[in-house]
Amino acid sequence: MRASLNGRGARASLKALKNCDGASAVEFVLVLPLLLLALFGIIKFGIVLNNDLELSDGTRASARVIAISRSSSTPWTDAMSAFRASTPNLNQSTAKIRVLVNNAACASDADCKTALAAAAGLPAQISVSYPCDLDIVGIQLVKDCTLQSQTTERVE
Amino acid sequence: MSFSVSSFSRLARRFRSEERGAAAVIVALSIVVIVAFMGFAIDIGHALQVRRALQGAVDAAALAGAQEINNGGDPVSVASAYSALKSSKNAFASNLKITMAPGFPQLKCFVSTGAPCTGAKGANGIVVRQQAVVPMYFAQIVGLPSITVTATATAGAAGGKPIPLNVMLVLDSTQSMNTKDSSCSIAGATRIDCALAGVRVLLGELTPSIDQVGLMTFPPILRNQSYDYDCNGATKPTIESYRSAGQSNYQVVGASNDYRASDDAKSLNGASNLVRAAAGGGCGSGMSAVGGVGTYYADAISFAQSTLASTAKQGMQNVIILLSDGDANGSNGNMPSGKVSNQCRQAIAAAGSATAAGTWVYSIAYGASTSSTGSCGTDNPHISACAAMQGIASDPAKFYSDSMGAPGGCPSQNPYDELVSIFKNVGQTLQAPRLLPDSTT
Repeated sequence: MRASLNGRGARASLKALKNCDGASAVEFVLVLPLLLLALFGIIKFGIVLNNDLELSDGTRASARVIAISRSSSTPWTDAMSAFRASTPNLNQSTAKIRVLVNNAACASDADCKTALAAAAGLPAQISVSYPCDLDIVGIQLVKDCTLQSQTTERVE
Repeated sequence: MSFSVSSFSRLARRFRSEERGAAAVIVALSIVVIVAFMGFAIDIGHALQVRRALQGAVDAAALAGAQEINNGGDPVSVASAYSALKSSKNAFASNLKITMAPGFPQLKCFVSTGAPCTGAKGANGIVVRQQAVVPMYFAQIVGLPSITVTATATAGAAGGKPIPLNVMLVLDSTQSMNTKDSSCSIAGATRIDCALAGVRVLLGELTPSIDQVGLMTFPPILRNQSYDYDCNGATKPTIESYRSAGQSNYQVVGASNDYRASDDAKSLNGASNLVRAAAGGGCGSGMSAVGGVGTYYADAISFAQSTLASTAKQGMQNVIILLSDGDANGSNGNMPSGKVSNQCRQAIAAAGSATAAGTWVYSIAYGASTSSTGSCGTDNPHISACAAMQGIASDPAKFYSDSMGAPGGCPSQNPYDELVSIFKNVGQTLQAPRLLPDSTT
């Protein structure tokens, strides 16, 4: 009886195994996370690459403004607005912008104006860091991901 | 609507009961393709991003180099210093292999920009081209280990947003300036006429909204004499000896920016004292050369520098433009005490301290003698007037010489031998560099 029961059970489970109903759906569910991972990865990488291009562009634009602002009384403000104008898709408040005139940092119109007045022909540098988000469905691909860009121009 | 719903539910039912189970195989195959495309997208995106950063670096390098063309230094090494090369100012943080394309940075003479080709290299522009070898992380699997991206920038030395200038013209008005200059583009002009014509051309090149210009002369004149720009008086000025002359005796017109009505105005403003002193006021013949106390210009240079220092506004570049034959020969009785000997070397020292203070000193030798025994007679050891004028310029590119057609005249690396065109060239070298299309010729 045990044997027969056993035999019946084995036959039943064998039958269940042989039943291929919905195999596609099961497999699809299995591979779906993989596909979604790829999809979100593409989206995230696309956003980060786009951010990086904008960051390079904004850095370059603001460095150019600093380089020609030797006679301006608002070099800092002008450089910041040049950066903002070139980076419409960045979250401006999280961008850390550093202005170096002849290797000395300045962070206000008055400071940069004084520094620039004596810096004809000397280097002026803008360096910007911007946090990037490579967090794909809970997996952090790069820890403390930061985009960096810097340009050095010669003050005219 | 009902049809599409029923057709969808039919599809879903078929999917649920589908028995063939090929999804895993299809996905497994397609995931290879998907990952490959993703890899390409990342590789190409990375390469484009490197190209963008490289372009920013070569732009900065070209502009820095173009600026140096007017400064008379080595534009090629300055451009390299601002490029993306390793340990240069715009070097990449990443470990990419970045090289200058062979033959670059390249100095060019762009005729189409109209700017003069100055300096030893005869250039008015520079082209910088750099290459970066970008490694492929994914594409290397299919045999593409890296791609090379190239960025090119072209900059002209003139035509950009101008730098505000604080210019002091220091003109020789000794008696020798009354002799004729047959090489002047104005027929029959005396040297002073030709010089004033040059000043008018220079005023046409400057930007009145930001550039201020003053005028000094030597020998000094008695104070409060407006003869030089007064339309009423034909009185010639009374000359003051060099002995007791102060700043106000050397200055004819103070820093002014009324020489043209606006930046766009083509003609000079005839009501401006500066323009009138340069004989452009339509009345009188402008500054006259009276002289009579010899030539001595070291004090004129010192006073020009101290005047510029006190009149400069924020961000202004001070510029001294000295025109003279350079033959300092003040006699004992006319000279300040202790300044009788080495008059030419005194001038070189005065110009040297102006240059050290950041002023650009242009020197225009006008018929300067190259004889070291026949000029600069108070200097021991001997020095020629030509060498004195060369030594006064801040750098070789700021030294001009008009030998008035004399063979074997005072040599300058700037290929001009006519005074009006020299002044035009000086005006153009005072303009700022700018980026040009790479197709510029």
